[in-house]
Amino acid sequence: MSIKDSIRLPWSPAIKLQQLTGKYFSQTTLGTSILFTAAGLVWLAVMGLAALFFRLILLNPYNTEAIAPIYYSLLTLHGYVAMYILVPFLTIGIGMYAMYKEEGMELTHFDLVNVLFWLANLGMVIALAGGPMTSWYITPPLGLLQTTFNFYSGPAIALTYIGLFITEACITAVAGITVFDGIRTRRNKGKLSIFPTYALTFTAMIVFTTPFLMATLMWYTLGILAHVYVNPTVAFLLFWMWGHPVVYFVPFAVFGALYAYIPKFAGRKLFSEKWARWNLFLLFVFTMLVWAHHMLVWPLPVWIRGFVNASTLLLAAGSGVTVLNLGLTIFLAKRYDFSDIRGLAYFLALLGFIIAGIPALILPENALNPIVHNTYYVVGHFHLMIWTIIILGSMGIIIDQFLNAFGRIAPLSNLSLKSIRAGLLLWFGSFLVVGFAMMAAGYQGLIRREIAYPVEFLPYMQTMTIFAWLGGIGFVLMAVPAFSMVTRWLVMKYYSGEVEQ
Amino acid sequence: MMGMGAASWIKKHGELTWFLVLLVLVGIFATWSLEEVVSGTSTNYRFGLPLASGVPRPLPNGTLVVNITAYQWGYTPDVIVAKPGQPVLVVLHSRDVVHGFLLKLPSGTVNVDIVPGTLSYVFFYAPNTPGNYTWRCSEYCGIGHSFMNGTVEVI
Amino acid sequence: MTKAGLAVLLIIFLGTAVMAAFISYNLIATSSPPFRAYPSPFSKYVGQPLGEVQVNQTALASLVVSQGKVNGTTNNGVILYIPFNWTLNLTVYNKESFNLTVIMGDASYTVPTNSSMLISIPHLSEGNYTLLISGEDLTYQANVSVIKDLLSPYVYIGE
Repeated sequence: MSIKDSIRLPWSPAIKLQQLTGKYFSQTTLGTSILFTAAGLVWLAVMGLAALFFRLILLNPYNTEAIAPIYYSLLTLHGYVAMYILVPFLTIGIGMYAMYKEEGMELTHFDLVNVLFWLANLGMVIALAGGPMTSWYITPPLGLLQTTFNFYSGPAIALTYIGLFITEACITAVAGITVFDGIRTRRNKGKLSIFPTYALTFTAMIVFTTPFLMATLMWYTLGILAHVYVNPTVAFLLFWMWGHPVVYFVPFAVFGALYAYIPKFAGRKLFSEKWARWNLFLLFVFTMLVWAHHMLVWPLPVWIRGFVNASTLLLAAGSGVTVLNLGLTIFLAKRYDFSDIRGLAYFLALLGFIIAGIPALILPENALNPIVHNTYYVVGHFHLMIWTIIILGSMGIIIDQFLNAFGRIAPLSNLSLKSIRAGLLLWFGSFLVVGFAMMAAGYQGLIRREIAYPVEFLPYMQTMTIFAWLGGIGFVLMAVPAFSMVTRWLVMKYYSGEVEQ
Repeated sequence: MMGMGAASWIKKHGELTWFLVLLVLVGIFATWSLEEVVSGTSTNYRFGLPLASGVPRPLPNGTLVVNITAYQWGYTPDVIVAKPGQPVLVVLHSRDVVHGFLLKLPSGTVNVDIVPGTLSYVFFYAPNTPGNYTWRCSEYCGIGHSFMNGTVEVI
Repeated sequence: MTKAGLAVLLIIFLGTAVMAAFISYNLIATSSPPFRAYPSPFSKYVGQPLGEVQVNQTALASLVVSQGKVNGTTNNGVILYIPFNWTLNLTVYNKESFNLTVIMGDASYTVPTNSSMLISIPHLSEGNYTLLISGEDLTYQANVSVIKDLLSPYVYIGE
């Protein structure tokens, strides 16, 4: 026996690793798409709970600074999770699912994508462990001050930004791999069908825009560790170059699904496929041009403000054409199938997008923006978008995904279906009330991110909190059946020895 | 018969017509907003503000010029005493982080951000009705954000 | 023709109309009398200094003396930058339990305890001045810098 034989390990690391990844990593495109959307739902539950708790704090208009660290930590967690991980995960999951379902396009780099997935989650945990209170969008110089972090101190506050950097780098890589693999594995010829066209375009947009965020995060890290000067206006502009496009990742990916499936539930073809495809160019290009409209009250020259005033309204016009396309599809149909919970979800998503979008038209108007900038009006607008087109639209797609993957071994019972339907309606109705309460209060001057506020706004805050909790119950009604499907599948896969589909 | 004609017209021209209607609306409202900003007739936002280029030149007679420093967490001074209808120019400076200045007046709302390293300017005519008008910080600036405010006393 | 589709279309059209009306209302309600019109936004006035200021321009500043500090700063923290030829109207708020003496150049003022005083210095000429504030337990030196071609008065509060 040689020396090498005598020191051979009883098992080979490489083979053990392969066994572990084979067992615990997703090995199918469908499975990977669910990894991302299901993780999104988990993060949604976390940030939703944070919101329900800080909304309780807001029931007291006379809060003192004592409660500020708790409130702002919860608020920052809420915002960080939503924008830095929930939205990209949903986009990527929808992109993967769309390309798989409609075109048979596949991922090929499963191990890499799984590793990046877990690293992205880890990055977020590192970022949140710092207990940042800096408000979710890390405005400089506030985001660079030690006093605005709970647990990290000294140079360690940079860990928050390093954690976020890791998350965003992994997300960018996964988005790129998704589009790259998908295109490479496409076997069909001719035009790409509408759902993957939209979903993959906005998955690709992750790759174009997240580097701006990563540059901002790196700049902050250097600012903290190497005392590099961070110019507030430039850093803020750089941040918003990502910060605006990000809000369109999920909505426009969901529009792909609405274009593909609302016609099915309406029993007729889409009113105008041509307009849907042409509109994509307008939406993609203008999304990237309008970001300075978040800074209309900053000391920016007039020509920038004039440009974003006009370009944002043009982008809105593009959205207006989208919803008309779908509205006419439903209008000219004989009936719409609301009995399918996906049909209901997509309809509510469309309706919600219109209701959320129209009040936003005052925001880019330079002469009027000061009335509503940083008030609850803005908060109401963007939350209405999130609650409807983003969450309900994603729910429709996720239900479709889950039925596709688990429907055979873990079908939805009648009770589950009723629960999801009730949840969709309770969520939609409750959050419509919250959104309008927010906009009404904001128009009258209720400023956002305050823990103490003029007492005349108390009834609005009470309305928001009560109906938000009702909406939270709606989420539970939707999520419990969905998670029970996943759980039953996991149990069968790992504990009953059944072969996965 | 009418129904069928309308339906087929909508199918052919519906999207384009609505898109053109929307473009016209965009044109009207973008122009209107900018015209108000540039000509200085918008209470909320005068040409170039918060950069200095929005300040009228020369300043109207009797303009009250107030220089305010915003800091974590307050303003100094935090009181402006003005006569009814008096033009007021506020020059805002921040000594630490980005703060805001939101003042709701009967004639509109003034709302600017104060960015460290840059001066922000606000110009308005004090309300004709005597009374106290409170301004608040509108840009999240830390745990004392909710407690930063000041008063315009019109007497 | 579905009712659901009709609802969607009505919300689109009526919503757009309502919003157009709402925006118009706000644009009209928040417009005020015009003053001298400007050249177009793309010309040299963007970002230019105030310039051409007439006489009768007054810089308003206030210093609050409380708990041994002036405007929250200890010695030398406050610098007032005033444009040349302006008038400085300085209000000193004395929140201490002793009287304060304020000296600037040749002039000396006494600000009694728990009161405020307006000190008005017209037609400031160029240069740097020391503003000395003293009392029982307090000696503080603020600086007043009068500069030609300054944008506008501004108070720098250091530390």
